[in-house]
Amino acid sequence: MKYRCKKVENCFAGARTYEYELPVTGQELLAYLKGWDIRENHKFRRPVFSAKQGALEIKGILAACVIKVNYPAAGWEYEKERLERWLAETEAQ
Amino acid sequence: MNNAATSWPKPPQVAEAVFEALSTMPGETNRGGVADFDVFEEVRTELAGLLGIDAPCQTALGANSTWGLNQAIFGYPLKPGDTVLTTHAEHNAVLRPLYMLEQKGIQVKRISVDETGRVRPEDWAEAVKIYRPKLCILTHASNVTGAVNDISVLAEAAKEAGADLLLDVSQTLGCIPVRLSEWKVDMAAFTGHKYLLGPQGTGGVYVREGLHLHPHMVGGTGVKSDLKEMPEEMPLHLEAGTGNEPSYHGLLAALRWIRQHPLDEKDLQEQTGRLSEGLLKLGCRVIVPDGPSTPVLSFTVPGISIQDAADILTGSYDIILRTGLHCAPDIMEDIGMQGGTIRLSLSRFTTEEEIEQVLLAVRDLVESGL
Repeated sequence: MKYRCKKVENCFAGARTYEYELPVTGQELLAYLKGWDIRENHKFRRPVFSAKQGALEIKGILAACVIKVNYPAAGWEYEKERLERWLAETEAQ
Repeated sequence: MNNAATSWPKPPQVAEAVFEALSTMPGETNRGGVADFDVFEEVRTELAGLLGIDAPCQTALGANSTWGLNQAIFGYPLKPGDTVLTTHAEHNAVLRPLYMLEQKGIQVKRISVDETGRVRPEDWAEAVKIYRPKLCILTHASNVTGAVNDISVLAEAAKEAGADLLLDVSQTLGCIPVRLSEWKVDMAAFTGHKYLLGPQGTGGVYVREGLHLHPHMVGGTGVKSDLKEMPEEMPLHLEAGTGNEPSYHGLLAALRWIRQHPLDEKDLQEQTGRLSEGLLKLGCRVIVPDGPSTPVLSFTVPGISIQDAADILTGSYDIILRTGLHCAPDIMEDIGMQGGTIRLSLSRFTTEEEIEQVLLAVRDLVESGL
């Protein structure tokens, strides 16, 4: 699927947080994340989700098309490349 | 809730003034004369009252506080071996110029602040006696906790030790009284886009009469073009290049609006107090300065990372706030928040309903089981 990626500028030391705008909502994205540890939390005004696989964790609002990834310190460039390759190779339904 | 970064909303006159300035002939077309309207001169005159100074011309106008601090720090006559005293509460706009000065042989001493981000007067007095600094640099209020420093006491100690004082009033001008002449402050940097309610791209530095700074930036001044150096008189001495006239029209409108609509400090303090009390009741860790403070507060939610909490408050509840180190990394250890904080900062336009919404959102966060 096509995506638009931009680094999130914040004030944390060593931040490696990126946002991805996708053609699907967070809720729809979850269907593609087979084998990931998925959690939804509906207690908030706009419910949220997180999906974890190894060191990689995706978070976002279920009804929104923007997800956020805070890459781990170790091997973050590899993890970023891995996620972006997976997104590019995944066909949005 | 992010007014300590950039205040919003602004009085409508601010945007109207910027639009008007961009829609009409630039002021420099006329170049002086009785018919000329000099927006920078008007701003200086309005600012003089807020800064508590008599001579408006001693204020140089530029892009922001960082510009003013750089002018002051790099322009002040320091030589290798001289000492500068500062605090852990300072912004990177102070810290980074000082790191550069250290590389040039200037000694920089930094004193810690208390657990609420305030400079302890006894520590300051001891430090100025021990280190005998030539220059002291100090923030009027912490941009992380809102704690206001007692400048009259701290300035007196600096003066007794023979030091000049540069004060950063970025977080206070337009919010609480500033009295530079009364406090005998030698230089002060300020910005227009926070509690002065003006546009970004405005700010500057006050320099007391008799103190000569070496211009950090040189160039055209529109007058005295035959000189090879910057004109000696203030403010021209520090003002090279074309000024940000549209934004200064906006700042002028804001300053006039502020003069006509004095801030109800007590009301703002009570609102900030209600917010901090509410957060404390919800079990949050909140930095609550004892004594004077700006409408800024830092907190964390136990068991939830700062980033997760902020993402939910913003993403799920549209609460605009700031997280992290807030460009003041040295303060975090002193206040026991090494990983940073979530910062909320109110303005005169913050409503009771907005405070209630924040507390309801944080309550959901605390009860979410995240």
